[in-house]
Amino acid sequence: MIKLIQKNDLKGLKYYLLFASLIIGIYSYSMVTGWRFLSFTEHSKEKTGSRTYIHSYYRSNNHK
Amino acid sequence: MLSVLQNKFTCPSCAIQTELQLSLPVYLCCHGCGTTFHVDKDKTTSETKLQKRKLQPVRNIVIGTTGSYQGKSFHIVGRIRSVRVGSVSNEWMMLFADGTEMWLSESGFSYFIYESKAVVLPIELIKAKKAGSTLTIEDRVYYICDVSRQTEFRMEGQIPENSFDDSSYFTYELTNVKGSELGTICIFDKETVEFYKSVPVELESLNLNITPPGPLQATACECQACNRSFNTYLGAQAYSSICPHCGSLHNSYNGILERTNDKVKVTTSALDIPIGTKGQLNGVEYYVVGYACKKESGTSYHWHEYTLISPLKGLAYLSQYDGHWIFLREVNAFPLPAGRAAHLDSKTYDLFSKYKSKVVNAAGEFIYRFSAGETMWVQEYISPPEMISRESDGDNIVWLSGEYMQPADIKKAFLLKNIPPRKGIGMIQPFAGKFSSESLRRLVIFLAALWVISQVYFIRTAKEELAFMHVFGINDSLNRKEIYSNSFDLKYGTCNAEIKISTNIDNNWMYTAVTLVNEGTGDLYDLDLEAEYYHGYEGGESWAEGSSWVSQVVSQVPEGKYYMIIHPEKPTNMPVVNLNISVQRDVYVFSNGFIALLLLAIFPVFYFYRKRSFEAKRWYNSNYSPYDE
Repeated sequence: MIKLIQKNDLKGLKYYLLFASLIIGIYSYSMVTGWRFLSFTEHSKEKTGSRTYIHSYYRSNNHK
Repeated sequence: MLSVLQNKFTCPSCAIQTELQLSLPVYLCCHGCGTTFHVDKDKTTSETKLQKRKLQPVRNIVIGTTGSYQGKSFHIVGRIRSVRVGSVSNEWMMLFADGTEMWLSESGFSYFIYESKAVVLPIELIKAKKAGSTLTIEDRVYYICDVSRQTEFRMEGQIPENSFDDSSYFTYELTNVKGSELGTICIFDKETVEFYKSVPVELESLNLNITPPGPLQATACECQACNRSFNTYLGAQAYSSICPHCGSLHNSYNGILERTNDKVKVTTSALDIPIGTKGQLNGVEYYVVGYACKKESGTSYHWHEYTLISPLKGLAYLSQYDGHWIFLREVNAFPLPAGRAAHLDSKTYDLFSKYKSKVVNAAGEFIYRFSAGETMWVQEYISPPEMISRESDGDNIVWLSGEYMQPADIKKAFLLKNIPPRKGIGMIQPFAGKFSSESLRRLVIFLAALWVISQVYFIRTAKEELAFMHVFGINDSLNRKEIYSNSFDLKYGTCNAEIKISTNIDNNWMYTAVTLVNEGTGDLYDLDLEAEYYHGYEGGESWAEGSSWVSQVVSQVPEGKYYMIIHPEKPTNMPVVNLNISVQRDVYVFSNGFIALLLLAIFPVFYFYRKRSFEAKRWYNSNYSPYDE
C-alpha cells in the first residue's frame, strides 16, 4: 500500500498539515452551523427586552 | 611422491602437516612454507608453480573461520584470489557440516554466495556477446555487466581440483535487472564454458567468527619511479596506487607496489578533502583513499570524485561539482533505460546527461584498475534528491545510486574548515523544504478528494426547505412603505436561511430592504436586495445584464418563529411590481467550500510554482530538459 506521506516528510509538512486540518475543521463547522464566511447581512439585537419595539409594533398593527 | 597418510598431508618442502578437509583430488597450499601442491585421487603429490607469497587476509576472514548460511554451519577451508584485468576477487571455500560446498566471494567490497556446481553452457550462447548483452540461462534473463580475463591466480588452504585454474581464461559477470540474481561465466577453452550462479549477501548475515575490522592505518610506501615515500591505506585491497609526487601508477593488488608504465597528472592544488581523512556519512565511518578530477570530454566542465572506503560497509564515492556534493554507491542491479527514463526499485529516474568523461588528475588508491587515459561513457538519470548513473568503459558497465548531500553535512562529516561555495542549482539538489514533492503532491490529491467528498456530503444533507413564500403587489401606495410578513418557523437548530426576491421587472430595477426578525429573542438580520435587469439589441447583437431576481444567505440563524419587515422601492415608471419573497431554510453554500479550497491551495500552488522555476533552472544544463518544449 502506498503511504500518503513518507515518514521523513511528515516533519517538513507538519505546519501545512496543521493549517489544512484547521481549515477543514473551520469549513466543516461553518457548513454544519450555516455560517457563511462572506456574509453581507447585518445582525443586531433590540435592547429593550425580549419583546422588541419592532415586534411590538408589528404585533399591535398586524395581529390585533 | 606420497605425502598423505591417514587423511593428513605432510608438506614435502617443510614437513608441516595439514589435515585434509576435502575429498581427493585437491589443491592444497601449505600454511608453513606457502608451497601449493596437487594431491591426486591416488594420493600422488606434485608441486605447482604458484607464488609462495602469503595472501593478505580480507575482512579478517581466514582458513578455519566459521559461520552459518541459511541455517547451516560452515567453515572456511580454502581461498582463491583471482586478479583480473580490471579488478580483484577473493573467493573462500565454505565447507558445510553435511559435506556440501559453496563459495563466499568478494569483489569491490561487495559479497556474494556462489553455488559450487556449474551449469555447462554451449559456446554458441556467448558468441558475439559483449557488456550489456542479454543472456538467458535456465529460463532466467541476465545482462552481461563485465567482460574480463584472469591474469593472476593464487590460493591458500584447500580447494577442489576442478576449482583450480591458473590459466588466463575469460570471465563474464552477469546480473539480472533487480540485482538479486547474479553469476559468472568462465570460458576455460573453446569447449568448456561454465556458469556459476550467485546471490548477493551481507557479510554480517553470515555470523562469521571474525574480529571486526579496525580503522584503516596509513602505511608508508616507496614510489618505484621516484623513490619518494607516500602513504597507502588499503594494502592488497587496492588495485592501483598513485604516487602523489610523480604521478606514477602502481599495481598494488599483491600487497607491494609494482610500477606500471602509466602516469597520471598529479594534483597541484590542495584537495577539499585530503587523502586519509576520516568522516562519518549516513552513520558510517568512511576514509578518503582516492581522488580523481574528471572532465567532460570536449567541454571545460570538470568535477571532483573521492573514493571512500568503510572497513565495514565497503566502497562509496563522493562527487563534488560547483559546491554540490553527491554520495554514490555501486548497485548490483542493471536498470534498463526506456526512452528518457530508467527505473530502479520501482522508482523512475529521468535522463539528465550523457557524456564521455576523462581523467584530468588523480591521487591515492583505487579498488579497480585506474588508468590515466580511461574514458568512461556516462549516463545520468535523476529523481532529486537521488540519481542513478551508468558508467561504462566498453567491457564493464556499472550502475551507481547517488543521493544529494548538503555541503554543511560534508563539512561537518569530515571536519573541514572550508568547502567550495555552492554555485547555481545542483543536478539533484532538492528544492527547498524538508519533504519530497511527491509527498506534498499525494497530500494535495488527498485533500482535493476530501474536498470533493465534503461538497457532495453537504449538498446531499442540505435540507433546502421552503419556510416562507408570498407575492406582494407593490404599487405606489406600498412603495417606500414597511410591509410586515406573516410569521413563519425556521427549524433545524442553527443553520442558514436564504432570502430571495423575484420580480417581474423588465429593463428596470427593484430595491428591497428586508429585516428578518426573531419573534422570541428580538434578533434582527438586515439585508439589502436589489434586482436589476436590462437587455436590448445593439449593433446586430442581443445583450442582457443583471437578473430579475436576487437572493442573500443569512448566516447562523437559530431556529424559532420569525417574520420579515419589507421595505420595497420600485421604479416610478412601473405602476405595479410583483414582488415574490421566499425564505429557504438550510441551503447549500458553495462560497465556503471555495474559500476553503483557495486557502488550502495557497501553499501548494506557491510551492509548485517556485519548484517549476527551480526545476527549469536545474534542467538548463541538460540536453534533455522537459522545460525546453
